Amino acid sequence: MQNGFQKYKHRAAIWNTGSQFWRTYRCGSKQTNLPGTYNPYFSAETSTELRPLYRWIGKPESSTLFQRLFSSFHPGWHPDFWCSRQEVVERNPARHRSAFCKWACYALCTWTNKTPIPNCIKISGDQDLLLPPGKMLLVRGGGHFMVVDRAGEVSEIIRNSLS
Amino acid sequence: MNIYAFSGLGADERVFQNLHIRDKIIPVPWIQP
Repeated sequence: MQNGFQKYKHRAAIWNTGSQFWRTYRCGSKQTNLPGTYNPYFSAETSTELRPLYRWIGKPESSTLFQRLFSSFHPGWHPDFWCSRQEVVERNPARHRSAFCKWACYALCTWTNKTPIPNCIKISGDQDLLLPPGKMLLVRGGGHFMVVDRAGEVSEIIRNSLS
Repeated sequence: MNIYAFSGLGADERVFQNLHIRDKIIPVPWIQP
């Protein structure tokens, strides 16, 4: 039986290619996974840092289309779709509930925070398809679920940050 | 020190089971949206 990634991996590949293009276009280099490289579109601490597409989806005038998409099944609402690596999906012990996933996508697109969070340490995987990384601590090869597939590196960053 | 952890995209507390931190990790469960 195919999981979400296997079934829609061609779409994920297109999305990944698009993200890489966007990353290269915005930063002028593919070396954007180096710590300290900053691009305001590649993090989500405040609503202004979201991708323009997400902000557009969250606008009230887009709500009709938005609600229609969320009221029916769509592969994009399945978390497996966002995983960058097939093996992560297969051994990921945390299974998601679609209702929560839909709510999380809705909250992301309608995120309204305008105030940067003080003393916030952001960690991201440089292969994150959902929220491509910006100025933050990066885990090489990590996707959106790097807390699972790069747990050792994430633990080290947290330990160093707390010490 | 306690670390309160929120999982994203509706994942449950098991996403944090591979983290190895000296401090105690307390996952915050999702409520029904």
